[in-house]
Amino acid sequence: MNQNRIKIYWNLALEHPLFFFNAYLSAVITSYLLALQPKFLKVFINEATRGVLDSHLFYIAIFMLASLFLAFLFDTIQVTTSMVFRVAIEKKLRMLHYKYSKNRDLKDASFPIQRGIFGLTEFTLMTSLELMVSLTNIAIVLYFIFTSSQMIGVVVLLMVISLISVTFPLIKKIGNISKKKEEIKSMLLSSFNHPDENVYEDLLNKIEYLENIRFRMETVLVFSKFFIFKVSPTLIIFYYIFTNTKDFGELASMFLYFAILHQPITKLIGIIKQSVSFFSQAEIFKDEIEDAIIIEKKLLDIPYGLVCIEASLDSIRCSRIEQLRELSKKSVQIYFSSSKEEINKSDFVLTRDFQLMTTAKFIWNQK
Amino acid sequence: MKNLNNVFFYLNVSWIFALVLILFFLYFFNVGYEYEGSTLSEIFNR
Repeated sequence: MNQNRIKIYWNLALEHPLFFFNAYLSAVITSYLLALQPKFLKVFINEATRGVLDSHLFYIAIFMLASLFLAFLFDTIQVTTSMVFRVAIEKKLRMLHYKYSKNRDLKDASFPIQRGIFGLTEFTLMTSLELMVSLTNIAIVLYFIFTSSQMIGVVVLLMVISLISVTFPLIKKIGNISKKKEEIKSMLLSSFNHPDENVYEDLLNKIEYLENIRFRMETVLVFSKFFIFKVSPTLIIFYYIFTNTKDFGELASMFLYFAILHQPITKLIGIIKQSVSFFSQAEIFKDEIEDAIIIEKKLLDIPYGLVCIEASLDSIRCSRIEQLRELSKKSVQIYFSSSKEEINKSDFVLTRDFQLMTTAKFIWNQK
Repeated sequence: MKNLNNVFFYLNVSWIFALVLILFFLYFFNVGYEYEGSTLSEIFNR
């Protein structure tokens, strides 16, 4: 995936900074409060084994409950903000598609309108807000593990980094295999009436082969996740025996930390998996949307507002020009010309089919 | 965005509510509650 592409969608998400930081901040508070739970458990066990008053233990439990309630409250705030955020992004993408789409044919436009833009909205959210939230979640839990035991913290950090670095290429390969499988499936359809029986059988064998590779890759993923989250907490018991520590609260809290760490990592892997699939879903029209995002941004950034309209447009709809003025939110200077030199001077050109483009692109098209 | 006014209202109210509650929480955690002369945050860092 192109780095530049991610930047486009990232900037799109940052067009609503209030939603973005509201959702992010509440997600961070939620994960901090949730990561406090094992610490509460540790204190509870240590105080209980020390033989304190029951009322003291009761108050610790009340504090634990209160922090859970607060975590829930901030979580609902985050979910609500994300919902508003998603609605805002989807509306923006739909408007951009409507305004700048070159394919006005209903059969070309129906897929983006019905499914594709939803996919791109999800992609935008996943690669910006949700990615940041899950990375921060992991960082917070790792920080808590680190404060409990530096050595275990470093080991877990290394394991998480290696899991993620193994996951990235594997998921990409799994995605490629799924794509190839889809291609072969469509070939199956076209060779259904082929006189030679072997052609069909060969294709079936290819699918079997691809499934085999995918199975192996997914096994690696499942095993590494199992090792980190199920086996390594048990190995920690040996560490405690080895160091001869009697801090049972610490031990219990460590198990909980691993349980908490499981969720953001699964989410992170899910984000990579799903964003790849959402992005390939939008394959047919995403260039158009990206162009639209760039054009709209440039239009808003016009320093002095010079727009040229091809003179051959005899019946220019005035509404279109008004729309242009409104879009740029500046007093746009509009002039008509058919001479190339003059067109070169302007920032934007409204072409025959009422598409707005930058001069650079216009000249390129002329060639 | 006009159609989402009720959501914004809900968001504002819950932010204020949550902020007040978390301030209460922090107060009792750091100052308000004491056992054997140490606050809960001190017990946490023991």
